[in-house]
Amino acid sequence: MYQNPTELVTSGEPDIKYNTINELVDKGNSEIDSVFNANHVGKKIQFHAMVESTTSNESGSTIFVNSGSENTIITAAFDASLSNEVLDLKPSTEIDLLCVCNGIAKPEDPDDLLSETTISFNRCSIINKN
Amino acid sequence: MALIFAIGQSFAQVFKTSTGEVSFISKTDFESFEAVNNQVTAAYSLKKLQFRVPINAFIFEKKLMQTHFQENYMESSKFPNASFKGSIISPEDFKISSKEQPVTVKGTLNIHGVDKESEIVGTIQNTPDGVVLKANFTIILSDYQIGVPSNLTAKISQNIDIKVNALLLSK
Repeated sequence: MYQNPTELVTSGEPDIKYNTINELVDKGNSEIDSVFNANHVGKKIQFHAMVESTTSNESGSTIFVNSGSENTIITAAFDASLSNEVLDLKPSTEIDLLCVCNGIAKPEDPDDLLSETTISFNRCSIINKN
Repeated sequence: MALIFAIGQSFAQVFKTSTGEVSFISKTDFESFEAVNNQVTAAYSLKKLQFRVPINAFIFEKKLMQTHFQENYMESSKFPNASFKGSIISPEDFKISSKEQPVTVKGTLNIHGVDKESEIVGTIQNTPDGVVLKANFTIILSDYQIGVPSNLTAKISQNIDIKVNALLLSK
């Protein structure tokens, strides 16, 4: 029944485009989770960002994006086939990414150990880098 | 005394990751499949544990299966994250060490918007790279009101095996 190959790298036109990371972070902070997620989860999002760090494992690689805020973590995950390209990126490199959004998660209680807001993306592609 | 306790709490070491891995495995006589998610955020401090699992970050081998999982079964636009929040209840005198120790964690597992009190058995180990958390457990889809169409019940198990493997760094 399930015969289609997986689309591992996002391509095509974005559903939403953010020209700066601040636009994305502000949107996430200003909207309640359910509203942000209803408009973003599963959608193709293009955003401009700065690399903070990169990491990889067997199943793929991840860029930690500089969110400009200690309380917000933004991760962009890539298929393992793109790991070399991702790991070549140096901190402070400016990039444009096209990804599928996994959604936002905010702390629910003041005593949460996970005290940061997280916005995560997967199946990302690098469409521009400087 | 309360002040000393408060100071101790405020300086408690917290270990975190945003790249933890959770896999789920479905096995039936007709079809078996596994999906992997390496965008799990997790934190550990003072016997307390917390996980957030973005549902759309599960990667399947077959795209159509992934789409059905995210949109139809898990309704990820409505419930984009699963979560767990709990504390180690066994051993009672647990102290983290370089030895891989079996632990039982009691807490609330939220999947598909449904909270369920759960006890999960796993291991914790303090390594030179960070704190390693591992667990294997099974969930029952109907416990979380996750419906599978009747024509697919032979291919998608009601009992899903979950594997957790996360390396948490000191923050």
